[in-house]
Amino acid sequence: MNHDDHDASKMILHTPDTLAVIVRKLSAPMPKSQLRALETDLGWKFAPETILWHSRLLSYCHPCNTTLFDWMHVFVVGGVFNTIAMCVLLALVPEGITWEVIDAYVSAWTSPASARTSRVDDVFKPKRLAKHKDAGELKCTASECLSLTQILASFMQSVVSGDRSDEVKRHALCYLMMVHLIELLQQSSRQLVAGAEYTRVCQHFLKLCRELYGGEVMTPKFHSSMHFGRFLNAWTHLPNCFVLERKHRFPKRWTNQISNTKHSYEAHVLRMVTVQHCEALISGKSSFGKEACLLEPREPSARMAKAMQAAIGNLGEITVAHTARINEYEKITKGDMTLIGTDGCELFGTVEYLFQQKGLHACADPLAFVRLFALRVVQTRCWQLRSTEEAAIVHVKDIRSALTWCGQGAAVVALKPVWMQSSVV
Amino acid sequence: MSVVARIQLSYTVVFACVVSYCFACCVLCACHHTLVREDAWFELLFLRTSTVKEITGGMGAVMISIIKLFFCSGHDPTTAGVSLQLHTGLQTIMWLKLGQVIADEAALHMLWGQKGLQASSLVCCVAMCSISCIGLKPEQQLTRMSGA
Repeated sequence: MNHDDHDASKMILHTPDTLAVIVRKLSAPMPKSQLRALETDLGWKFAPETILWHSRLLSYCHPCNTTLFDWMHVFVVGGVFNTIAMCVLLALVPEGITWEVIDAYVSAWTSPASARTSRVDDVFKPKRLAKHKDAGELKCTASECLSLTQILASFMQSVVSGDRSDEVKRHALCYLMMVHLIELLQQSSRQLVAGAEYTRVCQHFLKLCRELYGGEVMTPKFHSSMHFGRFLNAWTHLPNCFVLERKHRFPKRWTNQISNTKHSYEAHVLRMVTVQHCEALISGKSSFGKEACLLEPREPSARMAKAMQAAIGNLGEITVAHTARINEYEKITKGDMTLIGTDGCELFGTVEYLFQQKGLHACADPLAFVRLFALRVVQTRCWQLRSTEEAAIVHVKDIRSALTWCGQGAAVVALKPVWMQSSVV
Repeated sequence: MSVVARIQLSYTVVFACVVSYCFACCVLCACHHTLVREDAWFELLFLRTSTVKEITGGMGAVMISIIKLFFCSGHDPTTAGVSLQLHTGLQTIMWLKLGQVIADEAALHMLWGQKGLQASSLVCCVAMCSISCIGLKPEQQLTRMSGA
């Protein structure tokens, strides 16, 4: 099949047998020019040093059985998101939805503190526009892309439901389909996704994409995106390279400093990284816990204790923290807008304090002091909220998610978390 | 070129993650929870890209060396298992197999010996991706109390 084809049923996957045939063909004696042509035809190199030429090792690691595309690289590192977001935004400009409009919209939102390291409000500033246009795609980091997906999706949802032409709505719908694919992949961490559902949406998306923008914009990463449905069926959860990209900072810390060692440079760096890693594991700095807990709890300062007493009352002996784990998936930080409670009984609130009481009769669970917001209107991708001028103390374990929000004063709009988003097709 | 850029371009890091008993009561349920934690991933190898280029076979040959190191160095953890004494006092035996290989596209091509995508307009539909990390997961676990 061609790489811009959308029909997943046309895919014929390589098997160990087909790869064995390829190896046999490439290993046959032939002139160099013929070998180069054959390599191009087959898509594989004659490389006797690689694992395909070692049949014994293939029983431990066969490419057909073990390899998994990384959805981070496929979608948000010069990938499908970068290309489609650019195409859609350019298509909306003639309709009066300029980059300035998008910039103003994106800048109004506040992400949870855990996602605030990426500056999404910078992405559409004039100084970065030239970079986008030169590259022909939205040039931003993977974490910026991930933060942008939901905010732009909220905008596109308003375009789809608004009074716009059908053509504009089709562009917005194309974007929403792509975002839904990313959401499904993110939801797979909670094992909420069926591979068939992913494949169904992906086929709709690729078909619409080709109709709107042509096959030229569809790089091989678009084709790679079709494989994730099968991966979801096989593994239910899909690991990604975000964690490994974050981890690059550890080797960098030592590679910069070490320049003159009488031993192997690489071995020395690896040794230092491993020592640092083991030290973190032994000292308890790293945590594999799933339960709600305060992270790096400490005694409150005198100023904070006084402020908390004024706001809440006498709490006795307590520890406080800036950040807390709410479940195995998420953390919250002071200042975050959060979703609290169960389905049908949702509460919303901004976290002011995170604390835990000490003492014999105290509540053992970590607690949060939140300023409450009430639900006003439920929309497709977001909630409209209003301030209640009330506050409450809630169990940290009852907080379900940190939210991206915008608004001033009493009226606030909060985006639904990724794991609550539903299909657009 | 800035120092950071030089390092990003010049080094190849291979990671491995061992999902071990202490992280998981049920391996299948706990897998994702563990794999998204940075501390679950151990650096296996640190090589300058220039060094990899000097090796005949490049990253493909490096991958073979790693697999041999884990599975073919006189002790096969897929059949014989690995005995681990945990800090809690529990002793566990883990049978390991290489579960998933995941990485970016460039690493994929280097690892499996695939041609670049520009070589053909058709895509090879192998379930594979570029490789920088190797997931090792226990196929089975057997635990007993230490001294019991």
